[in-house]
Amino acid sequence: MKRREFLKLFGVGAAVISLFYVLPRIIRGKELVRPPGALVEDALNAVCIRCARCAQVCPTGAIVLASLSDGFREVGTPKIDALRGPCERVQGRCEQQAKCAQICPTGAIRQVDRPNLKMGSAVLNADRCIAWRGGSCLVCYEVCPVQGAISLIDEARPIFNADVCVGCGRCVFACPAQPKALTLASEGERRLWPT
Amino acid sequence: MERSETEEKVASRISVSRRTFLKLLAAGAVGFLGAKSLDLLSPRVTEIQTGTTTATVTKTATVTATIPPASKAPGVILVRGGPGVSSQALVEKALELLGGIEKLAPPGAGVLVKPNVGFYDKDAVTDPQITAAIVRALRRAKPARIVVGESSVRGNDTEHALRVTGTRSLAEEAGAEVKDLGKDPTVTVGVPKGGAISSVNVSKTVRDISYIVNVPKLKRHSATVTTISLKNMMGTLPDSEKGRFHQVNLSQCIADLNSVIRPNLVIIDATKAMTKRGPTGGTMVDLNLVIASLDPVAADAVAAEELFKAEGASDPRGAVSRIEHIQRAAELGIGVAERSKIEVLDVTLS
Repeated sequence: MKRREFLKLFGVGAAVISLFYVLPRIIRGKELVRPPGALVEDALNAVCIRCARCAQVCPTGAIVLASLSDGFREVGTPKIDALRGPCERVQGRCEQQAKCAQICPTGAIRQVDRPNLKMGSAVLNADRCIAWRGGSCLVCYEVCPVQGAISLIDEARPIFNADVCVGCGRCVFACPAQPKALTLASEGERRLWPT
Repeated sequence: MERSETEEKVASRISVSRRTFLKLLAAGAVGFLGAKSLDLLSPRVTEIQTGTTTATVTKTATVTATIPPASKAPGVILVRGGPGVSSQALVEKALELLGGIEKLAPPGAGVLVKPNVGFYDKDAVTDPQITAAIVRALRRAKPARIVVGESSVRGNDTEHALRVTGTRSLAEEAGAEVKDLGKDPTVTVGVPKGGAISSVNVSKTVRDISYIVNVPKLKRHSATVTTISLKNMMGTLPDSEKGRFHQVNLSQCIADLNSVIRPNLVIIDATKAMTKRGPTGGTMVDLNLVIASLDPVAADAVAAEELFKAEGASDPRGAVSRIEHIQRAAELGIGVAERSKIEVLDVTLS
């Protein structure tokens, strides 16, 4: 095979992969965990002016800006990255203020009352969990600010109640397992309609 | 002509001094490496015999710790308060019964007061009034410095916990410096007797002080049954080490840690104890009790028994004997866990 032919083939291959694999993913976007009181996805992406002020005022550093790999429409919008910090809107450094909502100039993130505060839920991978593997841990249970979100089996192994969990990511951030046994997903999230 | 001669002289002097300098440098390097290989520069763990108790403290080549013998002091002191008796009065009485703080803390020592401020919730932390009362009492012993230090539970912000619980303001008002130990540089300390770990990274502040007053809260704990003084020492570690403890073997690691960073004095805040569940969200029970001892293992064993009694357990002593980290600590010789061997003085203030 000639060098030119090889390069041509390589170019075509790359184009096909990006057409069928990468591009749809970028266009569709990922299911992101949004700050508390964020508008529904389409409205959020339309209203947010990507000013990054929410990320700047977040006292825990939990809010980061979505990158291109998170989706074309989502680039620059705020998302919660529980590995960087938990959302402490429920209890802690934010002190029930929702500083991200206070500073948002366009209302893409709004103040939300406690019953409607739900960013998502923590998801357990029991194969990685220290307690489920027989060790003693339960750091997740220690740091959880929502009573009933985590309950224990035999006072030793945690189970996560997605309905009660607000998706603050405290347990994900604190989980000492390597790799982490917990991830934060947007499952069950409650968003606001623009009015 | 004359000038060039001077220059030559100067040059020769410089060349000689450079050689001498290099020699000196080489000698210095050899000396330093030699000392390092002999482990003379790193912190050491030294056993100090004091009367009836054996205390293990970490110290550097420059800091010498002297712990006065615990003459005639009973093993564990329980001071109960009737209605209206302040927590400060309980602390003062407990210290008096231990022989007085002036006789306990060596004058001129660096003292660390280690409350449990692991959480944002006031029920889950040491009453800041008790921490402040201990700081005020310690000042009478004329220490070089008093540090109130804590590194909150993994994932919690220590600075926020110190502020919202009122620990920072009250401790500073009492005359202590307040420190987030989680943000401190760390030093590695060998754990020669360790059952699960052979070394541990602790906050540098802890290494640099010579007297530790452990002021835990009496609570239930999801992973270790109870959290009292032995478990409270995890608040001298960076988050990474706390994580490692959970991965390795939590109870054994707690015992191992206390075998090298052993608190010299334990004063347990059991004014309001957390029963049923913990370390957060348990049922609070008013005991108006302060428990003090020079032996952290004995203190924990007696305090745990009080906790189980408050819960109405049928066999509180049996339950204590099943708390793994307390038993492991006793096995390492940190203190006495067997209740029949612990002398208890139980007084009530009214």
